[in-house]
Amino acid sequence: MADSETKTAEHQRQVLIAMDESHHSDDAFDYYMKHVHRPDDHVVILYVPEYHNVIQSPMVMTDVAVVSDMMHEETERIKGVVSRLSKKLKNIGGSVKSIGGNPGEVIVKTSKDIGAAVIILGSRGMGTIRRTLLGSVSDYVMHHSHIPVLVCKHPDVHKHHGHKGSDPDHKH
Amino acid sequence: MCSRLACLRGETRESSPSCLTAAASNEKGPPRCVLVGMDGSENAEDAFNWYLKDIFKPGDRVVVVFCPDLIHGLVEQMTYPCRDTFTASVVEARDRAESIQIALRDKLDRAGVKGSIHMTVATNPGQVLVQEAEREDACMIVIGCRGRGTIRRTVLGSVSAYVLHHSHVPVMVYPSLRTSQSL
Repeated sequence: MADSETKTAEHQRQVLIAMDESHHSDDAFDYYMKHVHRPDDHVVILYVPEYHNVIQSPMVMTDVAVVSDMMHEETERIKGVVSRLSKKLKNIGGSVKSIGGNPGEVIVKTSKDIGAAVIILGSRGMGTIRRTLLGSVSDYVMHHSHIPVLVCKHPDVHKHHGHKGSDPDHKH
Repeated sequence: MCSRLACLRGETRESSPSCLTAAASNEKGPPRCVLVGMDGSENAEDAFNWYLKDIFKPGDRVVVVFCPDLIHGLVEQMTYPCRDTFTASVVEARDRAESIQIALRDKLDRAGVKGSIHMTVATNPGQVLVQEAEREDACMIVIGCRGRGTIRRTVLGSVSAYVLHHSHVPVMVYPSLRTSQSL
């Protein structure tokens, strides 16, 4: 059962890690590497860029050129994020996908498209809406996923909300 | 064998690696504790099996926190309470919990996994899971998403919702087969 010679591509796991620019995502990635990663894993980092600034800008109704510039700026910024995320996959088999849309929906759909075995999320920080301890995105994914979901809680989350928590130098 | 429902600790044993059936990975990482929540439901058992297959690393110490779900069998009887039936149900529930505990011990042994089983009857199993995870310094909590309740209004049960909100450590939630089948 544990014989590495019998491993084939069929046994390779597709792992979906949803990430944004927040440190929660970096923590989730690190946790995955430390506790979940297996040598054969194929890691797909999913970045769901948000274009709120552009789409919801009042300029949309006035100056097309300005909006176009903003769009270009966003696109460049997103390229930077994708590049940074790609560096994490050095020495690990994997790829970075950047797919626009509603983060929760995109994550669930992508997990089905790639045949993921597990979805890895930070508990907060996806996007700019931060209402609850459990982010709206992780909430959505939890309710709609048909595969296991790992929600990487971070001790900071509880400190910020005034919970009496474990020590700040939480070992994990 | 103690037949009272109480907080019991199973024996901690270590089996030889040659009988390991749990993991595909040979990597032995630093020792870690994984907390597995059990309520006797099929979903919880699936979660546990999945942990053994996909997450387990040699050297893991597993703490199974078993909170038997007694309410659903007993509450139904409260419409027309009858002492004899009720007593019989309590005995049945207790026996069932014991046999589950034995099966859990067996599962750990067969997989060659070091671990213990804590059984508690609790009004708030989620809280027990979160507290035990802290006490045992677990690096992860593994749970199903729902229990045996027959009224399925929500996709996420109250216990998993509680654990997700209050846990200080990462939580792995295993979906219920019923959910995935309906998708």
